[in-house]
Amino acid sequence: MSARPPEPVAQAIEILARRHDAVPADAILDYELLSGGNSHITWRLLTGDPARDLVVKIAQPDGPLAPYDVKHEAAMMAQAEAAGVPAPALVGVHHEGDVQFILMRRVEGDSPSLWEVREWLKDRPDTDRIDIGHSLLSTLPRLALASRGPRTQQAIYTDYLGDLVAKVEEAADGVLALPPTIRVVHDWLVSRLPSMEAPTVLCHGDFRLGNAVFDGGDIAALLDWERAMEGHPLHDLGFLCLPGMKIGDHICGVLTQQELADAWLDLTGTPLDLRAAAYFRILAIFGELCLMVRAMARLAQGRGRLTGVRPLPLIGRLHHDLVRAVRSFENDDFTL
Amino acid sequence: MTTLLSELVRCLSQAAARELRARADGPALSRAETVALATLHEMSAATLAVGAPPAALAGATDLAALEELAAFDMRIVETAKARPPR
Repeated sequence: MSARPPEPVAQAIEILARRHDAVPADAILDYELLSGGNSHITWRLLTGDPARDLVVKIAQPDGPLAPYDVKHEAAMMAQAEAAGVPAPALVGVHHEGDVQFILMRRVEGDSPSLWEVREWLKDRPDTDRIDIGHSLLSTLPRLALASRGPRTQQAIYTDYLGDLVAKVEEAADGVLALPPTIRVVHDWLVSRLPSMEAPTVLCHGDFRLGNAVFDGGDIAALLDWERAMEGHPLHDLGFLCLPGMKIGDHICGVLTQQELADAWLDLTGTPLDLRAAAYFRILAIFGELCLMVRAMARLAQGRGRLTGVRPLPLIGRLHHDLVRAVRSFENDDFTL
Repeated sequence: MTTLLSELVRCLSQAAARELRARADGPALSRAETVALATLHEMSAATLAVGAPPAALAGATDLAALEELAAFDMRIVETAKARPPR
């Protein structure tokens, strides 16, 4: 290593060298920043052999999504693996005071972001686009829970929505005046909860193309399980349909609404319930808006870095998309 | 009467000014911080250009009024996007 890595990584590497046999002190030759998310920072630890490289996700103690619970993420990854959905192999979890990180094997493959997907698919036949979307969706019906908690789905979502609003209101208290939209849409979502007769499943919670690693056309792994929870089978499909992730007519840059519905029928044997899917799409917009406003409110209190200002235009879009989506739903327009 | 976005821009501008004053003799801004400040500057200018929504929308909770309120946020985003980069 030519220079000492940034402090959180140096700290993690030192702990790893001391406590985890899987990472001998001299095994890590270099490091590379992969992403700086709202709740954690992710680094690749290079060993000289790409197949043995590791990834460490380090929690930001005062990040806007705090508390980021590494143990929860590790448990959700284990549940996904048990359900037959590939997740990165877990090496270790460290949680002592403010120092929290999760260490996993790096997964080889392509992981195009939404902005890269067109370029990624450019020279490939159009059938590849549909296959990629089909592969991504194929993970959802597999996410059955080995064992489920005692709460009903009604209770799960009532608590989930209440928690989102409580946290955004707490962060905004004394800092900014929240628009009536937050409370009105919360109440609307509670009043319009769809039929919860479907089995409770494991939901990824951040289900998008950028969190999938592809090996050819197949899924090699789903990444980032920190927001995973028990919920409705269409929870993740709704998230996938976030308006901000739509490119032209293509949901998440890969499938039209008709192709999505066809893939769902093919994978599950049941037609896609468009009304419920549209509901969970609105729930996803609402969740993203609450998280982003919470992040900005913390930033305005001096808790965070100026760099976080960049998502501001996204908040404007989410606010607008949210109300429009609710209005469309009320007019029986379930466009995803 | 403000929108969500204009309210956030106001709060963040104050926070950014505080932070810049505090580090007046500290390290230079990183590239990411410079970009973030430019974004904030553009959003502030766009907020001023768009102006406040009508007072009649204050406290409104019907969907049509909320949509009109949210449209102001969208207008701020579009106005900022339409301005030439500084």
